[in-house]
Amino acid sequence: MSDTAEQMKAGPGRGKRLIRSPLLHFVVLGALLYGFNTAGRGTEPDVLDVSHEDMAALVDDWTRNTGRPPSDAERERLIQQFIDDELLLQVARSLGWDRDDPVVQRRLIQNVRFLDAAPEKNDAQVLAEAYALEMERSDIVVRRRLLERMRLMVGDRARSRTPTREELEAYFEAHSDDFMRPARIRLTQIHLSRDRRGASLHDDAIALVERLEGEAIDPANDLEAATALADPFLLQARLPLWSQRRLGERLGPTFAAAAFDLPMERWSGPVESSYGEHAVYVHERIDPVLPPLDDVKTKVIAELHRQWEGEAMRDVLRELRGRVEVRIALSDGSSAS
Amino acid sequence: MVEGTVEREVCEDRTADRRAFFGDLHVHTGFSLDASTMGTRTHPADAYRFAQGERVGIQPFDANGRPMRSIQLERPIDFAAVTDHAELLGETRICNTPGMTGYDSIICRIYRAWPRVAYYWMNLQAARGIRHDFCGDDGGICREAARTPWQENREAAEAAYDRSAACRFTTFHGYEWTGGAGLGNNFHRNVIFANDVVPDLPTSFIETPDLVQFWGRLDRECRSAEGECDVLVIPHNSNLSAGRMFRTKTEDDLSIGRTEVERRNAFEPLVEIMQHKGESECSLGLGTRDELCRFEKLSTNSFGARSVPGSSAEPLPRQFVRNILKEGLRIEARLGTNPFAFGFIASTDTHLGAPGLAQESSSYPGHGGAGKPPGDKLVRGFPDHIDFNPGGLAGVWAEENSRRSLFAGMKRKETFGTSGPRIQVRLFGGWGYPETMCQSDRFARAGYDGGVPMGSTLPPRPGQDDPSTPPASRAPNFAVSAMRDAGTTLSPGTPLQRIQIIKGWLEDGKLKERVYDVAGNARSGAGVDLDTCRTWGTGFDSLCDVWSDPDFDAREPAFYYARVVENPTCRWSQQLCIANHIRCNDLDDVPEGFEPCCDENHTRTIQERAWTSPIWYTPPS
Repeated sequence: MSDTAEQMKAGPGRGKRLIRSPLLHFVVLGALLYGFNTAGRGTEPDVLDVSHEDMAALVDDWTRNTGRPPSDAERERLIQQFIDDELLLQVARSLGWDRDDPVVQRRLIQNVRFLDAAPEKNDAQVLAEAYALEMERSDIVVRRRLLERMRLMVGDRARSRTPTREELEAYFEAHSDDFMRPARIRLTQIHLSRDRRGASLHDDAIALVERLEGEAIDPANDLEAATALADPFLLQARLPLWSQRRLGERLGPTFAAAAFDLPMERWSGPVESSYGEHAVYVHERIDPVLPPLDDVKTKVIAELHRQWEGEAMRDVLRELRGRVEVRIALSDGSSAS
Repeated sequence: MVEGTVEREVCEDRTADRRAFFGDLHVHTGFSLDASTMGTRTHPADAYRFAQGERVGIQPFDANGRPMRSIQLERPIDFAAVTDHAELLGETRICNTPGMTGYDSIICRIYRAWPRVAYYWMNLQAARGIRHDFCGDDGGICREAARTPWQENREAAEAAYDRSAACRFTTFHGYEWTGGAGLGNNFHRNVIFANDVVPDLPTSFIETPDLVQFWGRLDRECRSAEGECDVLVIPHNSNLSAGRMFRTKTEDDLSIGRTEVERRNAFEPLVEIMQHKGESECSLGLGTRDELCRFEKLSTNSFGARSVPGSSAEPLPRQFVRNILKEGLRIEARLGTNPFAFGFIASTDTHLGAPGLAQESSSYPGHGGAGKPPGDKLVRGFPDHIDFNPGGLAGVWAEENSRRSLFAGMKRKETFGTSGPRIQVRLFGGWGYPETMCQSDRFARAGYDGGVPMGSTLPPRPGQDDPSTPPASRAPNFAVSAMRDAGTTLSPGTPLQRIQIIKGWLEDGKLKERVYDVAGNARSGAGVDLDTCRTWGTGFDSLCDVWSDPDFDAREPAFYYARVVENPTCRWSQQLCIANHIRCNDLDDVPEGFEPCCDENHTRTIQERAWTSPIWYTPPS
């Protein structure tokens, strides 16, 4: 921990950022620096090589799993993910997790016992053999476990902190689109059935709209006069304030999309639905509105935690990439940083 | 308004005449042992996100733990309950958490090294009511370990529940009590709570293997306890129960007693009629000649019979809900209470944490569970056993999308199940609905005013004691109205073919049934091209009828429910075969993994459907 503190003092710019960003995992960075700077375990190089073999393995893996080779963009993404993973693995190793994690140890012991059934050896001896073979570097379960622990550790800090009111408000404001209540309309629909009317449906529906309009039937006061002209329908004529999604669930996406473009307080249509055509009278329209923060607070907190987790991981990776030289093997045999 | 212990708003679009809401009341996540051994890593919070339309990553995962597939609902659902298995909830947590007592036990090591072995062994032990050694002498370590996942489940349900007036989404606290006998003879049940007041720990089959005691415990810890706790219990997969799900006799071959009858009636208003592991309504030849009972049937009668060669696998009449509804009439005649007065729902029983993923589709990923386990690799070919399916949806008629309103709908059984599509159907029963009811815009209002909705018992017949009442007015009549799935931009939905009313009754001590076609047209000639899955022919956007029972006898107890049937479409399996260009002319050409496409028993089409809860008639005593 003292290394972390010193480092923070040493670099004023970075130190400020660290203090401002409680998400950055001090322990991770501290351990990383410790691993790089001390002689005892300072075996981690500050260079990361992505070899031809690594890339071939990534492509092979992808091809086996998906049944096709990756596109250029997918290949690039695979490489970048591989680099991220390798960087995190370096930290995990410098923390000593590859040595002391119980899952890792168990897995390595299992591996060696599977290869070499020498019952006279105790677990410690078997484990020593595994490390001598550098099995912890290649084993897929070990890799996965170390990465999982890294993700958990970086994410835990982000998740466990209760956001302040200011942070909630800031997030809410910045992501107001996600929390907007969508536009809603309240309408009366008079339905003509496709089943019943067949080929004359559209003409009948035009005549229906003209008649409702011509006789100036007001659905707010005289709903009966309007519904007397309708074909039987399970859905009531007067619908509640509904968003486009809700309307779509009941009458189909075509109707829902069209209804939001209709003029207010007059009969219009015909509007086609999954069930036929409708004369529609829009009574009320509410534009998209942002609910008060307190109404959606639990959701904002959950979203903020998810964002923090992502940021914490990105911060850690950025920090690591700034410290390590990544060299990707080129096809001509040289390397590019 | 206070619901449980928390204040909530009234929904802005509350409708007195009620609307249909669609949901899923049977959902497993990585907290369930079986799902976790199949690589499912979704948590309850992920499942609730998925139900609301978010994209979620699922297994297989690549070498570094990133999901290689993702799934998303085209249409969110209105409500969901995550019902992870109460059994092994603690064990699963222990085996996945280094440092917990038991993590290094031999069983947990097996769990981590060979999940498939652990799946069988741990489930078998749980089904025998045995805790593993690492749980401690009295099982206390594992019971305690269940506290955290149960807590996390509840937190997820609370966080995802929309208590604002927008009422976008409702969650229910719940779990599955996984009862079994013999070789996986299933009598599993889902436990759904009314609100946030719930017991400290779920009750598992391991501690409480006896059904009557299980209901008693729910009574003690919930219904009769201080506070607002209320609960209902939903049996599922009677099709795999070898007759155990709905017993009418005890082990000593005595008829079940009044306590059991009354507890069933009090705690189990609903039954899950359809899900991922098949449909449980009825089976052709087992008490019925109804051709439409050849629907999503499994070939065995229990979980065990699938994996144990030589075990008896013959399905029994008592596995199917329609026969059991009839049996209920007989018991009611004897004891005065009907233990099997079930309303219907359907759900998925997904083990991917994917509530509502019930659509027939070539991209159906399988739901895992007792189905085909999703492995570490993407496998070409069938993602699930071919006789399994994407499951169904629960429909509830309720004033608004809130726990209080939906739970009340479930308790009064104003519910229906569908095999996946969002068919809406209403059924009312009374003694004098006008023939013109279908012409009215006020179908629902007239239905409630003139009689009872689905799930209820008919009120006494007017003038039933007056011999001068003309015979024609003696029969009850039923108003039934259905709308097809409104569809989405990508899947336009399928027209309806017909509505049927299914009647079961007790006549001179004999149980009988009859199926009436009441609306639509069974011979419209609609069909589907098996090479392209294109449909042809006509169907109906909506159907409605007022139907009077022509065979009514006022002395005979009876029930009536409606079944709404769509035109034929391609089943998920056929869609998969076509998407992969499988041709069965030359079997040697069929790629590995796609052999089931060309199996002679492969059912290529499906007539999706909805079942309403029944309405009962009880003769005057």
